[in-house]
Amino acid sequence: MSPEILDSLQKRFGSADFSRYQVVRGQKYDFCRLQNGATTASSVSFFSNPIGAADPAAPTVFKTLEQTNLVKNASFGQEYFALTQIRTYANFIAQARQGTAVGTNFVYRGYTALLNSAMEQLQTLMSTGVLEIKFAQKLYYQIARPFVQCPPGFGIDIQSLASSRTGSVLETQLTDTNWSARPDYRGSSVYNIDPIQIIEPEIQIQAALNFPAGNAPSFLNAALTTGNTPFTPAIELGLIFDGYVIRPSQ
Amino acid sequence: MGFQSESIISAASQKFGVIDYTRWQAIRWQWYSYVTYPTAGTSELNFFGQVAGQAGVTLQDTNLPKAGSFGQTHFQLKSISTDIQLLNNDVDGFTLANQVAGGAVGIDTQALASDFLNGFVQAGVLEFSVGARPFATIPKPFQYAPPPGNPLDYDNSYVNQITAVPTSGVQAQVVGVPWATQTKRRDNVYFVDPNILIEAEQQFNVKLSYPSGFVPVIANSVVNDATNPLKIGIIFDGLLLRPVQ
Repeated sequence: MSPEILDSLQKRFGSADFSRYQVVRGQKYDFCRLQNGATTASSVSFFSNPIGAADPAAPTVFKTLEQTNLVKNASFGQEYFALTQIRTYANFIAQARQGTAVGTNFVYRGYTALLNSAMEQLQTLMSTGVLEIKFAQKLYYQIARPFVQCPPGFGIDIQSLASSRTGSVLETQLTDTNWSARPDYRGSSVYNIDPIQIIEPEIQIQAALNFPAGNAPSFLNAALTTGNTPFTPAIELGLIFDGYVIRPSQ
Repeated sequence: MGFQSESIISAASQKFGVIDYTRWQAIRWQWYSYVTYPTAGTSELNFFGQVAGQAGVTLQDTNLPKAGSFGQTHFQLKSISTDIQLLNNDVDGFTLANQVAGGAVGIDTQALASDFLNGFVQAGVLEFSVGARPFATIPKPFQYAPPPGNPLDYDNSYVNQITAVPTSGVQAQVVGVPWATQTKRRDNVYFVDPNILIEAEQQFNVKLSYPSGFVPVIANSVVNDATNPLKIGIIFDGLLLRPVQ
């Protein structure tokens, strides 16, 4: 089958028109669990495991469209992607997916009730690290403190935060204390890529958040359930490429 | 026989029709669709699948003229927003919860802020497709695609301290009334750039899914599917293109 015959067949019977391309805004994203218990992470790799594969740090958690829209290991497949923004994300996994029954007096207490609390570790985590992104094994971005430099630019607006204490001796943090550590949620603060970076189809992508000054902080037993049982909360780190998907017309 | 050919229909329309298809009008328009987020959570919710007038669906829920399409008008999509709507937030209930015997057990269930901080707002993925072709896949859509500025403010003018000192095993203490919303900054809006033109009668699909597992509503003492349902919505903002009459 020569390329000419293939081209002719494709034009007649193909489902895509490769002579015309369509540009739409889109994201390529990958959210990974952080290894944060007795063993901590020296590095977190993004865009390595596609949808359907297990999370590298949690072998029993399989990635769905909520975690990534990558369909192929370490590449964006048959689409061009014009990268215009790099966003990072770090937060606790939604309560229902923590894997621990946290009870109903948790949100305003659980992450901050203990000294060296989970929230404090999250803040430490977001203050460190170096993000390195390579395309075809060539280094393109090396960004220190990426959660500060490349914030998500989205989040929620907390106007007032409650605090709850039960008086249990297991609450080692001061009473009344509850706070929330989070990166910049303003859309105007995102890390813009200028000029834009085109990522061609099938280009190999390596993106890793490294912790060269020591491993990521440990969250071992840093949170407290309603029943006053310490546990290690699950953390989710994310890397989002915002930009334009360039794909053949149909 | 070409009795109903385009040229004949066009000629008849120009002579006798009520609409002038040679001239078009563009107005700013929003198409919206709200559905109930069930207290128990769900794997998938579809939007723009119902029209006002169907059982239990009013203009408060959607202004779509036809299920799955914009009917006989074109629409130039400029931005996609999500919205969260709860009629009665029962803020008082949060403070009352502390009076329950055994202390503050259960206070998470008394404020929708719990769901913003630790619930369904922190998860989910929104998919938008026209025909069968995907045009947007947005992770954590309640954060990534917030509304342009409509959530209500609830400024905390003072904190509410129920008991002075917590006593171990006897009393509990709650300080402050929690209030969180989606961001309401114009620069956080999910702009569709370049715009997408959705032609008349073109079928499209918008769905919110939680393929990694249900995320039940935490504030289930406030949210009630029957009497105080949690409504979540998708708003398409853009230009409505319609023929001049």
